[in-house]
Amino acid sequence: MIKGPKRKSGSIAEQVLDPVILGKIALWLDEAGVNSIEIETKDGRLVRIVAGAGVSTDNTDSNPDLSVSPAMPVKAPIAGHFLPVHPARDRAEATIGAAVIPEQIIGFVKIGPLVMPVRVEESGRLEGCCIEPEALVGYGDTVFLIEP
Amino acid sequence: MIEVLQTGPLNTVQDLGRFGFRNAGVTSSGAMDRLALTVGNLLVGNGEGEAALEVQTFPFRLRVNRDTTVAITGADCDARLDGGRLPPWWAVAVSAGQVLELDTPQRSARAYLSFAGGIDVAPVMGSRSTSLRGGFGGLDGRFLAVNDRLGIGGAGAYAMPPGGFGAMPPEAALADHFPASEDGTLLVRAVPAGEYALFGGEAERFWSQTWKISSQSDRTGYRLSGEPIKLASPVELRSHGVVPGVVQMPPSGEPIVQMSDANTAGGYPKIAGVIDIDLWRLGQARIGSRLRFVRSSVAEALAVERAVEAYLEDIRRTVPMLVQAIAVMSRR
Repeated sequence: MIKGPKRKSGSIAEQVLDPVILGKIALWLDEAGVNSIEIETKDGRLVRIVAGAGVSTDNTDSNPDLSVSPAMPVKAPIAGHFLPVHPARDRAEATIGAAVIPEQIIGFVKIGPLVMPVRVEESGRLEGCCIEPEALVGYGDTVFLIEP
Repeated sequence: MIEVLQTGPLNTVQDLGRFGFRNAGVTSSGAMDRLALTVGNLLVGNGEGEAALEVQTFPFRLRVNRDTTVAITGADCDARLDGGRLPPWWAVAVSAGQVLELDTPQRSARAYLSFAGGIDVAPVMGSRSTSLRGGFGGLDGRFLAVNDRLGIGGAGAYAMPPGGFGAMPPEAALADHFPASEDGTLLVRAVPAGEYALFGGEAERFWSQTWKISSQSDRTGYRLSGEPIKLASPVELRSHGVVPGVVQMPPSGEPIVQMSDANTAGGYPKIAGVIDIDLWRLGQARIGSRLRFVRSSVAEALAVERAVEAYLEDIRRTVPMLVQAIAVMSRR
């Protein structure tokens, strides 16, 4: 899946559920050769629109080729290098698809000789990891996505 | 105040050790993994020599009776705070009434619990370390028992960020400076000691063979099992001073490595001395595990010491900066 650029907006979470707007977004995605887009709202929610994945909203009749799924971002607590696995361990703290709970540590950001936790804020299912191991992340960058 | 809810034997209060009294037959004691103790203290804002709990028998469980900060360093014991999992080499704020649990580690032998302000027991001869053989220091000179209560020094020096933070474990941060074998055998660097030449051609096998840490090993010394190494000819030696790291060769031909509670004197020939900066790794070696000695030099030992000191200085410098940065960001 190719991800489009993230865009910030105000009440866009509600707007994108409008069948007319969904249709426009589908057209833009098609023209750009992109099959999904994530839109981050002011309250920190992510709206992911995936072309051709079926419809999961109430607007099935008018938009048969789009699904809109809200995903909660788990963000980097500080700038540094992302570590999906603690350097003293062999396995990640949580695997994709696993249920996660608030305050659970599911990754790390290395800053010099120290390690900061990447923590879950809301319960859900760990949907994916957006950052490559050891890659540099900025403060507030989305590191994981959680399906509520 | 902390209260011990569950413990096995031999868990003690330790700091960096008691020095200056060997001439009176007083062992230095102190943490078997001094590096883990030091990092733990730095993470909670302590001076690096504050006393902590050395936990080597599991499971171990305690309750804190006041708000404080704790760091868990050394062996990864799958630590849990009120059931929530904590990563290894980690510092976190704890509230009065919370319970901290440590399980048997899969690797390594000893974990250290450092509390903000340190464990408040009376120093004896300049140290809070427990001397089990002498029966003094620490908590009444003995190992911890269920229902023991220990004072802790004070509130944390830092406001901990939510979820806490950790240090890069030395095995990862200093991987270039500590040799690792492909088969998991611990490589311990040593230099030949006073009576090395008396072993003649036999001495070569000291380096080449793999030794097993026998069950007759403790904080005083590790007895190693392997093919015996014999003196070229019997000798009579006067007793001489012994320090942690000295490798003695008793008549059985199987070495004894003196550890933190090392005897102060002994008469067995000394075949080698483990370099001081590798002793923490030996302190984390488990009974039944295997090790091999690697011939080293004073120059190499000093170079590794400098690397470790740079690692500690990096932590010392970065912890206050990180905590301050997190506090600023949390106010935004």
